[in-house]
Amino acid sequence: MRYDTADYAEGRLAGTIIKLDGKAVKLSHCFGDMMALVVDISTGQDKEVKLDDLDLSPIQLGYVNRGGEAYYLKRLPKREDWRQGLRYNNVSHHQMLGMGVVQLLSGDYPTFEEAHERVTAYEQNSVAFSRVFAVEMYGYLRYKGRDCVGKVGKDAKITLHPTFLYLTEALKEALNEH
Amino acid sequence: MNIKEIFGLAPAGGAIGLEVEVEGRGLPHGGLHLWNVEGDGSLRNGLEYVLKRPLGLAGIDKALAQLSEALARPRTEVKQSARTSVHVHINVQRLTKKELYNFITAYLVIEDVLTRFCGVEREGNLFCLRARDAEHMMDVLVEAVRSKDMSHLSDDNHRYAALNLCALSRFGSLEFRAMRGSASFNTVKEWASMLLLLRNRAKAFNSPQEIIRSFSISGGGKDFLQQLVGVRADLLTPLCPDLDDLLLSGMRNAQDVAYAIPSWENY
Repeated sequence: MRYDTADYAEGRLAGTIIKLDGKAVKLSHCFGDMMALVVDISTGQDKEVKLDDLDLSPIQLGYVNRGGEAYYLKRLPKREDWRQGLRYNNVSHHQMLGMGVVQLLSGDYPTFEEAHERVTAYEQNSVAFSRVFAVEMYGYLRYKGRDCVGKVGKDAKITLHPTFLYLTEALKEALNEH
Repeated sequence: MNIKEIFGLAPAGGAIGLEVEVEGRGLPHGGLHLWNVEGDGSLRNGLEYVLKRPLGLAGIDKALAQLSEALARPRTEVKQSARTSVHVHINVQRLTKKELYNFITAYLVIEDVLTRFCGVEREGNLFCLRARDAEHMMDVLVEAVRSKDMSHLSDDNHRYAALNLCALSRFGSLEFRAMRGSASFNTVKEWASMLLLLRNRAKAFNSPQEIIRSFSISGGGKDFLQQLVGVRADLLTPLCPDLDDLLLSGMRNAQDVAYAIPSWENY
């Protein structure tokens, strides 16, 4: 969506996380002739940019690994938010949002074997190995932060519960991502 | 029990409801006996034209012709604006719960493709977020299926989804919010017809799981699209060079609803 005035753009974007050249930035404010001040989430550097240069396409959310846990970030299609970008009010686990989005954009996950090793060594409670799958302590396999969909044996063999066999293909893809 | 009975709704006869947002100058207020005219704070110098009652396809034709004529009056100037949209309500009052979830599942599989038809600028738009953009809605759907409690679907936190489920408990309809406001009324008619056909075709499946199985058997792609929207698939496929990817990702979302319970046999 493109905006016709800097004021309108500010109303939709200020304080939210969007993309610029594939990186996560937080828009501080809009000014002048369709300009905006943005802060790079990774580096903390600010930069003046043209509003037209911003990438307002959706950031695909999912699992992020932070502080020894895997959190599944999801957007809420809330009415009383009225923001195009992501912010505390429209995302679950919003405390993880900033660096979480950086991680999601990088697509950087450990392999399943690494993830499994970390939880079996009690180093971390849960570790995501793809955008939609995470392995938890005691060998639980979790999907989209919602269901425990299977078990991981000590030999790292994954068994899906019969109810969730429909995830076989998705799991195979997740395991082959690396 | 059907949806009307579940929510204790007054019966609504027609199949389609419309809300058309317009920005401009000298927009007509009067002489539109099929429409209510309402202000809308999200628009700039705009009005929202809301059908007084749901109508069939022939009625929609007449109503849009009436609105089109009014907007073409000499002192009226319509401005093309990214802020405006057209919302289509499809009446589901007579559907059973299982038939409703069939409709939702079928829609979810092809949501990304349908949104492309509504306008590229509508993809990821905050006023009509797709399931892939706002996954929280999927949790609510899964919970509603498992608990057999549809009150979960009325949560106002999901109102700006491309598929607004909140309209269910108020009107007995599903509201589709994705169509751009700058679309021609012919496109709006096509859109409404497509959604109505989708409802009717989805209803014919035995269960949401059968829709997913049908996707697998057909190999996805245009064949599956044709199963759901008939010849209108020809309008959609040229817009989607990435058709297979869009359908696969939609199917993955829809699976979560279809397989939220092991079996729909006695649902």
